[in-house]
Amino acid sequence: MGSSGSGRFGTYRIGGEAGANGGGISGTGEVGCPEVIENIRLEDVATSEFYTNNHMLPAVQSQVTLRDQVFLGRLVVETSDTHEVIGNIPTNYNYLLNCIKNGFHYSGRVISSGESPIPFVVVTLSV
Amino acid sequence: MYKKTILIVGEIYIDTHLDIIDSNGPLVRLGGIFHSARGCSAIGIEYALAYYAPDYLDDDINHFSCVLKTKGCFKIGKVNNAPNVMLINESKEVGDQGYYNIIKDQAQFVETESIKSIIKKVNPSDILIYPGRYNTNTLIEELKEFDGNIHIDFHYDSEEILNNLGTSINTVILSTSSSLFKGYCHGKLENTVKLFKDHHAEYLLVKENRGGAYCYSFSDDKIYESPAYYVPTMHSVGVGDVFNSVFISCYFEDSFDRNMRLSSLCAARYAETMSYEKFENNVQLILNNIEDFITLDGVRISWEEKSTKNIYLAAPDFPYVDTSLLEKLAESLKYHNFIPRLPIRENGLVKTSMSVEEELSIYQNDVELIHTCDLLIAVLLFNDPGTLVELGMFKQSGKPTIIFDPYNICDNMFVRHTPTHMCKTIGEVIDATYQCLQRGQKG
Repeated sequence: MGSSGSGRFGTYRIGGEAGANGGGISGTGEVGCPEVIENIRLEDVATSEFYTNNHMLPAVQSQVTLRDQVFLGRLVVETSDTHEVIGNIPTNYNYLLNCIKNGFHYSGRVISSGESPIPFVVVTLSV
Repeated sequence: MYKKTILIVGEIYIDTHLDIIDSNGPLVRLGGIFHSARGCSAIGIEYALAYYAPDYLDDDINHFSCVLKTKGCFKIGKVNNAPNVMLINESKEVGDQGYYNIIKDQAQFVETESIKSIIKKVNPSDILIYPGRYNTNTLIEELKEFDGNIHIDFHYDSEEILNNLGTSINTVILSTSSSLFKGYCHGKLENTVKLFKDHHAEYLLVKENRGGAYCYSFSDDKIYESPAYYVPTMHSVGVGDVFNSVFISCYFEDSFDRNMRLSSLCAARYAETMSYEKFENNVQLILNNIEDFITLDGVRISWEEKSTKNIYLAAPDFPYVDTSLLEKLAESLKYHNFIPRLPIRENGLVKTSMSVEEELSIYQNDVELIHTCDLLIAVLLFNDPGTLVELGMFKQSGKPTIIFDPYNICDNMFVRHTPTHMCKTIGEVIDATYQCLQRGQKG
């Protein structure tokens, strides 16, 4: 009867091409920087710059950008043209700051917005 | 940055991750005090190792300690008759990790060099001790004349060192997964402070898993806190040890808060990868952009706060359904000190033989339970109408909701867009639970 076992120390590599270039999930469950993040419901929209300045929400399909610097402790999505803050992205996406500082630039579009029950904006971002 | 030299004392293991499989099988790497070594190396602090390990590991230990730029690697003692191989069943700490130390009971520890002689060679400013099954009495006795800072992590095998402490400690380190904290101190700060105040400790550092950390200063009776920073977690093994080494390094001479936050940021980066190179690069990225990273918000909810959070588990918890995933989720939530509430088990199951009054009584009790809970997790074992109605009712309260859809059966538009978080694994559910119930979170 044969046996199986682990090879040796120091053989771990971030698996597969997807992991190596920073995107996707490798065979070991290691996650890199995402290439697309869909349906992010922004937080604090009603108190953010865009809504307070314009008393309206950005239209569906308008272009947005993930700001490359932290604003008041949060990563924020802003309009691509006027750079007004539309809202904060949830803190579970804070790890994107590493991606941004590694040279990733995220932009995208508003895919949904509305006033009820409270002002909300949903965006999709990609590199 | 302070010019510090940290001597790390403790055992070295082979960590074997049974649930992380690469091309060579289960992932193996050096564990024990090597986790703190990686933290020191990545942040660029001078450090040395004083280790216990079986002889057969010496070549690998020496090789990898050079890779990690140690100032010195000294064998304080050998471990005979046991391999120091730690099997890890569940690397991400979704629940109990199921550590298994192979034939640990027959290990014999033989001292090969005294700590005094190692101190003479290294001249450390700080000593970080990870108690083990080795003779900690001798160690503590020999440290009585040491005039630097002593920090002790009371996570494992700490009974002996606790009973024989005859020296003052700079930092008492605990985590919420340690038996000392959960058992002896009942997870409460006042009990922990009482336990250690006679040992002239300066600080008590308590790491609270994905809920952040706090440091209590005995001298000014003040608490310093830091949030946890979410990353897509690959593992949680040694993450607290990295927190320790960055915390002790006092990278920011003048700010306790910033040291706590930096420790938390670096610990998060350790949890993200098994690649030391990637970890080191990410730590350097933080240091090079420190003002952006250090102000970042994170998740903060204390161990005690979690014990007040009731979580309604909506699921078809019927006798004819395989509810093992529901039970596993409830266990994981309990492990993290949340309170899972299972309505059918608490209020009863409606039977066809019941009268309308009896049925209504169960319904009212379930509705009342919904109102008292802080979060609802709908477990879609199948598209059970009761589960989906409970989800809708809870949503109307304005409080957060999570759908756990392990079998990918959620194909309804209304159901898909109702929850605050949609999760496929128990790990994702636990992360989302922290997000929903963190301090200051609105419903």
